[in-house]
Amino acid sequence: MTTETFKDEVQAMRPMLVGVARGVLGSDEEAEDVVQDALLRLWQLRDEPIRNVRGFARIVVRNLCLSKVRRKQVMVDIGKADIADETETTNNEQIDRMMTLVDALPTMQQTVLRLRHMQDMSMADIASLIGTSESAVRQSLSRARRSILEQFTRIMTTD
Amino acid sequence: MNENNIRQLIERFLNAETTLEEEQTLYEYFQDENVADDLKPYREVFQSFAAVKGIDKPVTKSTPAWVIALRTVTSMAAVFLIGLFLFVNEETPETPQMTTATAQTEYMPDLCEGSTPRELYMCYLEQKREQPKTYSLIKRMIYENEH
Repeated sequence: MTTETFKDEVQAMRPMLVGVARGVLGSDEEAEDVVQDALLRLWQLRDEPIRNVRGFARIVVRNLCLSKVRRKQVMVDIGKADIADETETTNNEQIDRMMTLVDALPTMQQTVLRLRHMQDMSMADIASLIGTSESAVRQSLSRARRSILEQFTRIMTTD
Repeated sequence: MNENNIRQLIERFLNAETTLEEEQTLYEYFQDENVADDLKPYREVFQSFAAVKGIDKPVTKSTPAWVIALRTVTSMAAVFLIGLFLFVNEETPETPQMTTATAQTEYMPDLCEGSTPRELYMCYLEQKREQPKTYSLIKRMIYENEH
């Protein structure tokens, strides 16, 4: 995709994406920030075979918004830490730790991993949603999982 | 679950070849405290995957009662209106008496005038009772008036 076609496609999609973000976040300013972030990531993926750019962009925006919401929720939970029971705290800690790592993944890996793990989507559905092949999805998911495992191992051994 | 199976599943998991059910098997194995020594390093990561499973799934809300009620009423009203339309359009078959000369002299019904649809309806209904085929006669009248 050239810079020109990217700009044109982006212009067309932007209002829709801001709408999606606003729906999750409620704030216009935050929505704009998230969409900006998403478009930057899309630009980095401009040479990837993604047939459904609109759909993919929508998913990326939604996931970025959910991350943001979750990070805010973590701040709230920390305040309640002593009241919550132990099993719930461990569970929350595990979720937070995992999500921090997921958030740091490259966009394609992150998107595929989220669709698979957090939305229980089948490989076929993920492929058709993004507009790539199943083998491309498998490759991204494999990389994501290995990356996460590696980071977990590193955390565990340095503790 | 056989430990060798688990090791194979882990390999397939890292190659993104597992099904959702197979992944669930892996998560369940690691929920248990009794894990083989060489598999212990995998426990934390699989417990964490288990913890985040399905957290972003969109919640399917069940349709509220008022929507269901509205749909029922609307479809009932539609059926009623269709039935009404068919009833008003009903043409009774010609009875043998209609072939007599007296019947041949055109019975010209009056175009009903009324201010409310109900008045019009009652008026046409009366005319229909007096003379079958009134509706088609009226239709022809209106047609001829306009052309």
